[in-house]
This record gives sequence, C-alpha cells and structure tokens, in this order.
Amino acid sequence: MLFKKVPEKYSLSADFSANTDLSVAEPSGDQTWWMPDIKRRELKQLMQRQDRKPLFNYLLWLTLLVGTGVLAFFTLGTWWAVPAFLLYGTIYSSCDPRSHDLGHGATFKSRWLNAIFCNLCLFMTLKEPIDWRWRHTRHHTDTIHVGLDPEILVTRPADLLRIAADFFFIMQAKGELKAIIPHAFGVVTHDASHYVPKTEWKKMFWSSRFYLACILGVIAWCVAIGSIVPLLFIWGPRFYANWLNYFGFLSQHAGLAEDSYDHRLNTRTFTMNPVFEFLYANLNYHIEHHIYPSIPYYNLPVLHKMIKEELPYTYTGLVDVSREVLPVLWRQAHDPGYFTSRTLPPVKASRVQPAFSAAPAPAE
Amino acid sequence: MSKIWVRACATSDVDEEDVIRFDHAGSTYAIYRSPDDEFFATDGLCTHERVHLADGLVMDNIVECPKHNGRFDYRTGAAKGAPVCVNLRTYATRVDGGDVFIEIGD
Repeated sequence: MLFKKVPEKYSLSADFSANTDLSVAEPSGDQTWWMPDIKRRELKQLMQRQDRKPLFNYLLWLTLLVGTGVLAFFTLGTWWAVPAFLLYGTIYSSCDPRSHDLGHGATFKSRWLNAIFCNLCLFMTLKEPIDWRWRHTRHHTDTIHVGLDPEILVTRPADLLRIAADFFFIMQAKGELKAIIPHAFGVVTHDASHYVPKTEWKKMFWSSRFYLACILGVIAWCVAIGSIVPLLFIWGPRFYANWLNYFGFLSQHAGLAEDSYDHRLNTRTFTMNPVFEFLYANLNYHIEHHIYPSIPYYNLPVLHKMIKEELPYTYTGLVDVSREVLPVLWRQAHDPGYFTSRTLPPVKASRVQPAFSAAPAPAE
Repeated sequence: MSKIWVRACATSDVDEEDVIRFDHAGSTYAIYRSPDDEFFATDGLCTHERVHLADGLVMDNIVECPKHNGRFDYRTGAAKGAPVCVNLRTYATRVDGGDVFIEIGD
C-alpha cells in the first residue's frame, strides 16, 4: 500500500448530534473548554455581523479571480501560462478557507448572502455542503480528540507521504470523492453515518448527485474538446496551487496535543502579511476562531489583540510556524508519542466558564 | 407538578436584543429581551449539543448558539436549520413591577 493505514483509534466510533436520530444525544465529554476572560458586552460587539465589509472583500476577490482567469486564458500555449495559472490558482484556492467562516454562518449579516457565497466556495473547493457541515460541527465539538474528530489532518504516526501528497490536495480530494460518490448512489459512508443524522441523508444524497454530475460534466467537456483547460479553471487550481492553504492548514493543528480541552494546546494562531491574510480569510487566527466560532473573520484580529496575553506565542508567519511544524511531523513519523507542548502564559484573569460544557439537561 | 410562576430576573438585568441565563431547581433557562422590549423564555441549552444559549448572539428574534451556530426563533422555539433540527421548549413570561417571571412546570 502506498500510504500507511490510519490507526484504528482515529476511526469514528460513537454517534453524535444530540438533536437527531443518532443514538448518543450528549456532547462527548464532561470536560470544559478553556475560555478567555472577556466581557459579555465586548463579546457581543465582536459577534456582530455586517454586509458591507465582507461584500467588498468578496467582490474584490471575485474581481481578482476573473481578472487573473482572463490573464491566464490568454497566456495559454506560452510559458507565461505557468506563473499566470499559479496566480489564478492561488486566488481560486482562497475559496477553501473562505468557505470555513461562511459555513459557520458568521460572515454576512444577511443569511442569503452567506448562503450564496458559502455554496459557491464549497463547490469551488469540492466539498459537498451537507456532509462537510456535519463533519465540521464534530471538529468544533471535539477538536483533535482521537476517535471523535473526523477532521484530524495528521494522525500519528505521521505518514509523510500522505502529508506530502496533500501539498497537491490529493488526500483531501480523495476523501471528498470517497464520500460524494457513494452518497450519490445512496450509500452512506462509515464516518457520515456517525455524524449526519438520518433526517439529512436525503438532502445529502441529492447534493452529492449534483456534485457528481458536475464533476462528470466537466470531465466529459475535457474529453470532448481533447483538452484539460476546463479543469485548469475549475477544481484544478485546488491541486496545482494549494501551497498557501497547505501550509496554512498544516499550521492549524498538526503536531500539537491530542485530546486536550484547551484550544491553546491543540491549535495555533499565526500572523501573515495582509495579502495572505486576505486570501486565507483570517483563518490563521485559529485559536480565536475555535474559541468563538460565532465571531466573523474580520473581527478575529480584534479578538486576538484583546486576549493575546492569555495566549501562547503567536507565530509571525508561515516560515516561522513551519520551522516548528515540519520537524515535529518528521519526528512523529517515527515517534507517535511525540508532540509539541506549548508554553502557556501564567494564569492571570483567565477563567473557565460553563459555556461549551456538557451542562445538565433541563428538567422535563 | 403544576405550573408555577418563578421570578427569573429584573427587567434591567437583560439588555435589549440580548439574553441571560437563569438557573432554577436544577434546570437552566434562557431569558430574552427582544428589540421590541418584550421578554421571552426558552430552555437554556441548545437542542443540538446542549451548549448554553445565553452565551450566544441575539439578532432580532433569533438566538444563535455560540458553539455550532445553530439558530432558533426564541419567540416560538422553532429550529431554523442545521445543525439544529429539534425545537426549543418555550415558557410563558410576564413582567410585574420591574421583575420578569416565567411559568414553569407541567
């Protein structure tokens, strides 16, 4: 086998989702996630959404996408096509981190704007919305908890070949297609059966059929014209220009503690230059995003400034964070017990609040 | 158990378009004040994964769970889409002399 088998312990083994027909109607543990010391009124301000700021951001992104796409098209057949498509593909691949905040419904004040851009971005990055939404919900409930989080990118022992393959989006795309294809035929995957409630299955099947039809349609288009040009513009960029997302996503959680109830220990925040943060939709403020998923991406830097004294070291760029991540992954390939233990600042005003805990159920 | 009225909070305890938590007899509730200055009450925990809604965001007549962003109409308890599918239980409220009361019990 080309890739190492993912250890059994990472397979989902329990049903989740309280409000559904799935058998376990509880959060997975009685633990409480660490929370920073922040006043309710400040939090409310940070959670406020608007339309104008994200709309400007998204229209700028789409303008850049179309502009670089036209440029790339006219360079076809020349060596200029290489940098032109790399530029187009990098801007295109911004759809993936963008879909993240949109998926939480936190970006736009208007729900319809959120829905339009969310579905567009998910489609561009080949993620079927129903499966992804429920899967990602699990990731936020039990971030990097073995056997509970279906989005652990690097399992231990680290498979370096698998990690390298994802530079070209290969493993992630394979994972998405391994769900889309059976779901299109009405067969629910093992993982999805653990986190997607039965009431959502029909919707997921039809959504997957739409995705599969589109994928086959684009492939048929390529075959008909004897060219891969259509794929260079749609989905292809996720493979040939995944570099920014690759290092960004590796930096979020890889090499950190498993089974911790403190996002500061299993998640990283790193800053980047304004262009990269624009493309990455501020998802580099990842500790902040996990603590408060309701806060829109444009307020995450504000939250970061407010709580930075309670956070561990903030990496100052992709090079800085990769200097830590890559050697850890190398070591984890041979030593599955090893992980980066982050140094936390001395406890000052931090507190534990019961917000995200498994609270007692209301009396019937 | 018959229905009883219980004092939940003072009207001034809840900002307009906001929510607070109220615990009583081993149960937890969420008390809302709408933009129209009306008070509403629901169960305090999201029906999805039992997160306290009092930590969420109130927008008009909607409360959004802080953990997975599930939304409810707090006036009716209606779930407004994934990942919440089960409605919230609601409770009658009344304001008397600057205090908010909720009616609980079977």
